[in-house]
Amino acid sequence: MSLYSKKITALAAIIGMSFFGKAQQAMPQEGGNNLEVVFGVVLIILLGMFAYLFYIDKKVGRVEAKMNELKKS
Amino acid sequence: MKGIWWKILAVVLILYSFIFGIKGDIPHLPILRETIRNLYFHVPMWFAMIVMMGASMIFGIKHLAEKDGSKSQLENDTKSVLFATTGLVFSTLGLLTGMLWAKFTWGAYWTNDPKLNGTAITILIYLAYFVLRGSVEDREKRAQISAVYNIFAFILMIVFIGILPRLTDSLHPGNGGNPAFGSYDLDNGMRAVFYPAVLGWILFGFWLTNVKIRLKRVAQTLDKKQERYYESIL
Repeated sequence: MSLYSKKITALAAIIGMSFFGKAQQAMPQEGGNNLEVVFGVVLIILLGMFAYLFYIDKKVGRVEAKMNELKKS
Repeated sequence: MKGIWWKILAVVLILYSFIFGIKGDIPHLPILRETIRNLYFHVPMWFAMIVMMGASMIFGIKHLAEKDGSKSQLENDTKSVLFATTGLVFSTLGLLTGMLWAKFTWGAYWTNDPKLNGTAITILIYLAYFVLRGSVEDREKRAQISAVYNIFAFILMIVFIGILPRLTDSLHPGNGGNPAFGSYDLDNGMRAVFYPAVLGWILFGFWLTNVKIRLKRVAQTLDKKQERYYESIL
């Protein structure tokens, strides 16, 4: 695991922990309020989207670097 | 990764606006009630869309200003179309979040409102831009025609979204004599979430387009290399 991935995982863990802590406190005693579920699902989608974009960005960067190397040689 | 700080800033701002957008305090207004939180999601989509379409138009103008057939000229065309694609994504999201908001405040997903119809027409204008691009085979000709069309599309977008709804009766805030949220409903607590949301989504749009442009560049270079290889063996 690279340093960059570790940083991203740590960031996600911090955000996740604070969210789940808050969600637990705010969870209604009775059913019928699904805002927390919507909140959690959207947050997971957003985090997944960001992680994927970071991954693609890094991969494209690696291909670009390789192409530049080939161009020089 | 190139210039990572602004990408991280985009992520942080979006997550901040999302978390505080759902959890933060809001002014309790009649009719709007909890739906006022949609302001953090619906309006930034349109801001981001206008910036993306604006960038697309600027690259279109740059394309027309460059020397014919030059490498940078065609690159400007690629940037222009990719910014328009991102803008279209934001406009679709803006329309969907707006329809949801309309359902809970006006009672219907769609009303015969100049603002709503204007946005629908704007999306159709930009869809026509992609149809136009698809119908011209010659790359240089396609780039030139679509760059000219892009300028008209942007101007029409401003007319349909920004000017016409203000001249007629409209249910939409900020139009037809209605006050916008900024005038009195948007308190300082909401501003602290709203403006970061706008900046975050705009930065996200630039990031998305940046990745797409770089991917396209790599694909084009590989295509050229393959072409050269085939030419050498034939």
